[in-house]
This record gives sequence, structure tokens and C-alpha cells, in this order.
Amino acid sequence: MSGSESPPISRVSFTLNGEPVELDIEPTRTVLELLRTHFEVPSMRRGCCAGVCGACIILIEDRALPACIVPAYRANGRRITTIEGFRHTREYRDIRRAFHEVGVQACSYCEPARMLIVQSILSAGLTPRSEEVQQAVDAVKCACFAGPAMAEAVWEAAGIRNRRLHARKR
Amino acid sequence: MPASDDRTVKRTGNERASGPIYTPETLNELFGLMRSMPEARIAAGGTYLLSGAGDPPAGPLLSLHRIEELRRMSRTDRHLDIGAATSIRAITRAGPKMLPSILSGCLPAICPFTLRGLATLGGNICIWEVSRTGTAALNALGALVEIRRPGKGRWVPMPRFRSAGGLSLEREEVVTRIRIPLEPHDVGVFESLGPNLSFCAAARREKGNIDDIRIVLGTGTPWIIRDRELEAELIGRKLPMGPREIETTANRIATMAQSDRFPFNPLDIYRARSVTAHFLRALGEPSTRFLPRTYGKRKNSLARRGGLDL
Repeated sequence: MSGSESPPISRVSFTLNGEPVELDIEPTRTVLELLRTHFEVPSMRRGCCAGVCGACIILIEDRALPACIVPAYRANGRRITTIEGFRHTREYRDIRRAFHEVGVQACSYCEPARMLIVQSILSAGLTPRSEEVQQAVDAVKCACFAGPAMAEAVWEAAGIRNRRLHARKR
Repeated sequence: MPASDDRTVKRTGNERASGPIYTPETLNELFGLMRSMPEARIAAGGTYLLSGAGDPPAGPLLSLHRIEELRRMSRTDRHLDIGAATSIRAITRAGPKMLPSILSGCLPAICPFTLRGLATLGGNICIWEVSRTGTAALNALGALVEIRRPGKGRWVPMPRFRSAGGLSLEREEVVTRIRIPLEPHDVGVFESLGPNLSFCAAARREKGNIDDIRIVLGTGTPWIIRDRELEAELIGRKLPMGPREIETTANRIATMAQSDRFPFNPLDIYRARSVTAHFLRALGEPSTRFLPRTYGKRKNSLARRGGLDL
């Protein structure tokens, strides 16, 4: 074959919730399939499988992406975080507290995705634009009652995290 | 992370593993792979192939995401060039000052917020069943598509690239760039009117007349609505247009939208008619503030941080 400079990818390696993993893949595999079948991650739900419903959102390098649409080979060498790994962080506790204080009543189906989306917004900066917040919040399609309070929860979580970081500096 | 990490590595076998994935780094390498594996499928962002919407890709897959040449954007005084594998997010980040208002308006409508780091404009127009808003906007902008094969290249106008007969893309050819002429249109509008309907229009006014106008409607199908005869009739008309002229023009657009080939309900057709009439009325205004909201320098912070260029 003339294009021998780049050998075909047949194995992929990435960090899943802090643990390095490596496995064989095929082109039709998505990160969602890998996480469900090989790692049995409980929060990985199969929704629309078109990247629209937001049920399978994960963090790849702190960016929220629907796992059902990300090809496994594009996750090669990246850091993947699901709610199982995120649950043990201080950032999770900030967002949890913000949800509680604002009164976000997310159902168990969409709550992991909503928390990861808030984390992705706040990891990009603690002063997000309202337009961005609204778009990110709308990225999860669920019929529960979490939606209306979500934007407020993002601001609240930003405030909580800001106060925590400033308290630590002092 | 290196494949042979010293730390504990969890290895998992995959009994279904079959087709290899190639990630060429140059166009020459890509053409070599395409020649040696004619059955291989090409993926730009991979969002369609892997979404379950398309046929599952059997056999080898050629991913374009590492070809730097296909991810470049450049702008001169006369045109804007966008590499075919540039993600929607990367294009959006160029900002409304660099992008024509129609393009910056249509980008958020092409794919959901969380997909913008993966989905590409080139991929969007190359998939016959999918491209709706992208095709309509690029038609209104008079875009050209660069198609290359080993040792050859050609530029194809957008209406010819996606004509009624299908895509103008042959075996061993790949879309490499999209060129958008920066013509001095003083009005450009993109308006998403629902899941299946989008309105794109560009016009240039000179000495109180319409000097150039393009009106394109994106539909929920591979086809767009554009009446070149109507556009030719409108060129040279004096502004502001009279109510009867506006009504006649809007009705012609609505009549085209009523075709069985489009999945429009009566509300969609009403929207198509009223937004066309609104646009034509606003053209006659000295100020463009009455145009639909996506006109002009839009504060496009949409998705600046929301996606990932993988």
C-alpha cells in the first residue's frame, strides 16, 4: 500500500476516570458502545444515538460531548470522565450544592448529563455568557422539571466555586 | 498517552474487531489509500457514519481529521476559504467579523450544540440526505466547492455540486475546500423557521434599486427551494417595493414550498411566505434594523466553548 506512513488504528488507548485503558476497536464503534460493553459504565444510557438527546454526555478533556456520536478512534489518547469518576471531585460537590440550593429537580436519567454539562461550562471559565449557558442547558432533552432552573444553577455553581477558590487563596 | 504505559493497563479484547481505521496526515497519503482501497469510506467528523443514521461502515475507514490542509481557514479581500474538515466550532470561533452574516447565522442550526467540535461543514454538504441548512446557506452565498483527485482539481459551484441528480463527486475524488465569495451584499439574513425550514437571503442595493438578490429556502430534504427566474425578475426593481409586488413574490415562494416533495405543513408555508414578505419590505427601509434577528454583526458567542476539536 502506498500510504504506509500512517498505519491503521486497531487499538485505542485513553484514560477513563483516571485509569488508563487500551482496547481493540473497529470503525463502527462509538465511545458509548465501548463504555457500555467493555467497561459497563452504569451511567451510559443509550438514547437517540444521534447526539441530540444528551442522555450519554461525557467529558472528553473537560468538554461535554455525547458519547453516542464520538468515534472511538477520536478518543485515542484523551481523558474521558463519566459521572462515576466525576462524583469524587470537589467540583461535583459544588455543582451538587448549587442544584440543591436552586432547587433543580433533575430525574436520575438526565442528572449525570446535566452535571457534566455544568462542569464543562465552568471549566471554560467562571463567567459564562448567558447565551452559552442557555444553549448548553438546552442540550439535554428530558421531560423532567429540571430545565427551567438549570441556567440559574449554572450561575449559582459558578458563584460557589468562585467563593471556594477565593477562600482557598486567602 | 502512549500505548505501552508502565501503569496498569486494562486490555480488553474485541471479537468483532475487523475493519481498520486509517488516519492519513497528507492529501497524497489519502489519495494513495483511496486508490489501494476503493471500498474504503471517508469520514470527516464521523458524526453521520457513526450516528446510526447512515449505513454502518463496512470495511476500512479513512478519517480526515489529521490532514492539516483540510482544517485550514483563510480569508482574502475577495473570498473566504474553509477547509472541508474544519469543525463547525472552529468556523464559529472565527467570529462574525470574519464570517458572512448568513454563515454565522446558519452554523448553530447545522448540528446540536454538543456536536459542533466534531461535525464539519465539508461533511455536512457531502452527505446527500443530511445537508439542509448548510446547503441553503452556501447556495445563497454563491459558494464554490473544490474537488480534488490525484494530480487534478476543479471548482464546482454549490448548485451544481448538489443538483437534483445527486452529488457531483466521483470515485477517487474528495472535497477539500469551500470558497465563499465576499461579495458586497449589504443585506444577509439567515433565519431558522423550524426543524425543516430555514430562510437565507442576500441582497445588494444600489441607488434605490435591487442590484442583486438571492432567496433560498432550506427544506428538510436534500433539495432546496430557489427560483432563479424570480431572482432575475427582482433585480432592477425600485425600492421600496409595493405591497402587491411583495405579495406576489412571497406567494411564488409559498407555491414552490407547497410541492409534495417537501414535508411542510400549512404553518411552515405561512412562515415561508411571511418571512419572504418581511425581508422584501425591510429591503426598502433605509435602516436594516427591521430585518430578521440574525442580520449583521451578530454577537455569536454560540458554542465558543461548547464542543471539542478532537
